[in-house]
Amino acid sequence: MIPVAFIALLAGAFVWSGGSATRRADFAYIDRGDVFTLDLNQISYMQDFRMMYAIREGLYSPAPVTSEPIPAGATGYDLSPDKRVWTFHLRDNVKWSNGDPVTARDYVFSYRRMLEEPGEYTYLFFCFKNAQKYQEDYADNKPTADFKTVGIEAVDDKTLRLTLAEPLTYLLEFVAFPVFYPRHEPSMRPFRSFTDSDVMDSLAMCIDDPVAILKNAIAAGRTDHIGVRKFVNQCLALKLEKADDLKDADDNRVVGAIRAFAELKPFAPDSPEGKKLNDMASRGFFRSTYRADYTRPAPKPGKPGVITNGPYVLKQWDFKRRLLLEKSQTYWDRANVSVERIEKVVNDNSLSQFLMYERGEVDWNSDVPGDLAAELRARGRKDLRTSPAFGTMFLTLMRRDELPESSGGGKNPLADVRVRQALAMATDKQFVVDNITRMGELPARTYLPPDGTLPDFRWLPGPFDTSRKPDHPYAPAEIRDLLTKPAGNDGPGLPYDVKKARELLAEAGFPDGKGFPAIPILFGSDNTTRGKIAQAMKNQWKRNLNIDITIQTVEGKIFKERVSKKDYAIATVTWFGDYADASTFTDKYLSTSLQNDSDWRNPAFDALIVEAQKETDVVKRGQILSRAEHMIDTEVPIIPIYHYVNAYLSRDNVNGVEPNPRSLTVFKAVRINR
Amino acid sequence: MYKFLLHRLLQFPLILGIIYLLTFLLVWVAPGNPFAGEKNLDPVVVETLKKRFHADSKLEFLAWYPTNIITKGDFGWSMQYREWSVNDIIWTTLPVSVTLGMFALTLAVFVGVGTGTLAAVKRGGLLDWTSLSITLVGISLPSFVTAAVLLVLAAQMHAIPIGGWGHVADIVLPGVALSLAPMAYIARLTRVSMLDVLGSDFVRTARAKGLSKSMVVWKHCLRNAFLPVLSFLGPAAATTLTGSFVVEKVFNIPGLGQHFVNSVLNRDRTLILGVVMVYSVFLLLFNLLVDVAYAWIDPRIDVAGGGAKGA
Repeated sequence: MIPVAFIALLAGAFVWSGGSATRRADFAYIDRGDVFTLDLNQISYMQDFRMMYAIREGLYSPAPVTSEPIPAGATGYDLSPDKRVWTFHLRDNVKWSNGDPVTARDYVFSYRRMLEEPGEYTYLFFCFKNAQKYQEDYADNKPTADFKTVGIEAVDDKTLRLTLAEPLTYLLEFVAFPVFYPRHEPSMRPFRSFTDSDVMDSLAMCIDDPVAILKNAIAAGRTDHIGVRKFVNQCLALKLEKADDLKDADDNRVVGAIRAFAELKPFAPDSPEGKKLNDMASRGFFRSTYRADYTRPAPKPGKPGVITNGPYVLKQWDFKRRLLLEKSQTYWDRANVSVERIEKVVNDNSLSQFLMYERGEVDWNSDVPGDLAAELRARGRKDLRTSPAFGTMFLTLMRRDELPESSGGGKNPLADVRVRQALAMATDKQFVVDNITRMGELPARTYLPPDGTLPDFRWLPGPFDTSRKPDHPYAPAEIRDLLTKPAGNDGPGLPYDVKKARELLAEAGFPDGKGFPAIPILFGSDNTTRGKIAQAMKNQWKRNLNIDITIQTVEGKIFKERVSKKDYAIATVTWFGDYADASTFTDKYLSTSLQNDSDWRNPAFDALIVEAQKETDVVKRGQILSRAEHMIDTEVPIIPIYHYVNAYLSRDNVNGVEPNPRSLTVFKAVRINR
Repeated sequence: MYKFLLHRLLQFPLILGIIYLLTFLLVWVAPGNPFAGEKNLDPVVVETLKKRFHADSKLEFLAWYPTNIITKGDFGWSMQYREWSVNDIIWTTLPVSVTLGMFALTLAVFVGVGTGTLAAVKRGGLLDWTSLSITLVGISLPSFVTAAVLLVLAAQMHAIPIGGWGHVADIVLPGVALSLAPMAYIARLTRVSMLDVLGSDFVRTARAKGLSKSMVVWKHCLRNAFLPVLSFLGPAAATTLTGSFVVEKVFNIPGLGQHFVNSVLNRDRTLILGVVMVYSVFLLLFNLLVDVAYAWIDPRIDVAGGGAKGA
């Protein structure tokens, strides 16, 4: 009796826990764990972007193989002679997954939300005229905030006009980037709420005690018949809404109520209540926010859920289990979408991920941990596919004059450029790529990777290069060639030259490393590779420069916080480019940049970046940025260690998801040969 | 009895309140920013995020959070998994952990008590030694070792799924891995207390009365020998049913256990508070259940306080 009851109980619990056999999709893949978020305002990680390319689409989208922007939601654009006004023409037959046409207004709505509820990538939108000012005014709650002044407008349903603050040669790269994709406002409305607490307070006042308000108004001599009637009507309308949820009340009705309320002038104009009321009534906007789960598919048909415009629709999202995509029936280019169902298997454990791939449960695994990938590479596994990456691993050096307390405090030896150069030249990067990462990475001498994303970019010869004149820079292919050979002094950036490094250190006042403080090198415990690199640096610098560096390990979240607060001496970090332009790297070291972790500031560098921003000639612009990049390589706010390699495991019958420098994976292009 | 139950139940809110306050304090003094992402964030962005999570100030959070829990049963939104409320997360992950935990506990109790009893009866024999060594291994080997060994073994056999949740067969490996530690512990507990009971007077009386040995052992002795196991089962059930970080990680089980560790690593303040409160409720409930079960198994025990009756 008891065993039977137990089995019944277990079976019941199993069903309750959502267990039921489901068929695997036509194409199943693993990349990292779960997606972080699918909210365009907040996306930041590779796996989120990958999902966006599948379920949404912008004016342009990255070409599957070359990652170049190609027309998608738009058929093309017109550019004004001053290269500031871009007019995009939307494709006629683009539709949302519910059948609604995609209009220019959907883009405007999406861009506007990016400014009003800013996220990690909002700064990209500051290229539009007045966008930054609008974002700031809106954030400060200034009544003057006016979206009409921003260079983002819908001319008609099918025409989007974008006006830039400065000409931008690579705007197409931006519009192909997911944060610039449109959003379907009607389907998001059920998730909206007003965040202005004063608006809500006033509304509550208005509804709860209309008689008192009227009495006040009469006492103040306001007995205007029409005004009173308006006021009463608005109160009644809102009272009805309150039965549902006042927070979801129609935007116009809220504005209307507050205006009617203000018209009555129930408070003396100079009283605090009167001022607040007038201020609110004079404003054209009320701050609203959208509940984050608007990005989830509707739990049941007829319930609110996400509406998208990409080649796939998100059918199912089971927390920490799977995301299921199905080919969209309304997508304009559906004839060229081959795979019907795609499943992202959520698996956080790298061993079990690999076993799942080995057993054929998934077709594609982009999350091969470093050690395992190196092992597979050593065994010559053909299905391990690699590509140089548009990213660099480097040490960031604190430029400030004083060290933070957590790093020993006192005078910072790294403030001296000669010390930074000495460290860079005493670093054997070949050792790191041969013994630690082992994926065939290139040992880095420069900040920008020569991976082919920027075929026209050139690197200036380094200060110890005797083979070339400064006006004869290196092309990406030359750099690749140079870095694969045993390194000499020729080439861009700083070479591995222990003798010169010791001289520089002696010049800086530390002959033979004497008197050099024991500064720590910081890394996050969630990244073991970086821990090994820190250890290698400690040993190399001891051997080459006779200085003692300590190693500091902290938890991942604390590591990020300390680096962003500039609370470290040396830290192991990385940077990956977001779009195919050198500025995605160089902008990081602007004096005013939030991402400038080193606190290295150089007015000459800033001037170059500004000059490049104003330059409309692509070649000249590239030359200016080359000079800026050269400054980073020689003044060493960072010591580049190596350029990344992307590694995927992918079966032979899977085509269209080849690794590429920016790790852009466009699932629309996936083909499976059965 | 009812008075006792009522008394204990009335204590619950107080205990939970204290746990909430302590967790809250720890969560807030811990360094690290829950909103830190891949890039450094604009202050305006951070302000926007803080507003969304009512995390503008500690006081606001301290006041807003319990009110929300008590009035709406709403634990707020996860700071790490931004699309999911803590309630969503608990309601989708807890059932998985409970199912797995029930399976593991059942296995642990039946096998553990069985081997423990047999070992005690055949004391010093081969069975005793075998079970002793197996249980020693079970207790001393950490679960990340046993789980990983099981995983690699199973990967060789294509019949058993190696991870995930969906098929009935998915329960086998993680269930076994999860049951090993409590199983070993229960076997040890049973053996020791069984040895005690076997030497007592009433056993001899029963045997003298002509009852068969197995009848005496399984019916009369086990009832008494089970008491220490029962007191172990309370906290063990709370721990097992709310999931294990290691087993869930190794077998990729979408349960609640992983969030005990991950939420802390992510500084996901709302989720930390959520899982701690769930675990506390489980712990309190199971301890209460154990006390009630005590009275049911051994009527001499007066749970309402005042010591054993007739003593």
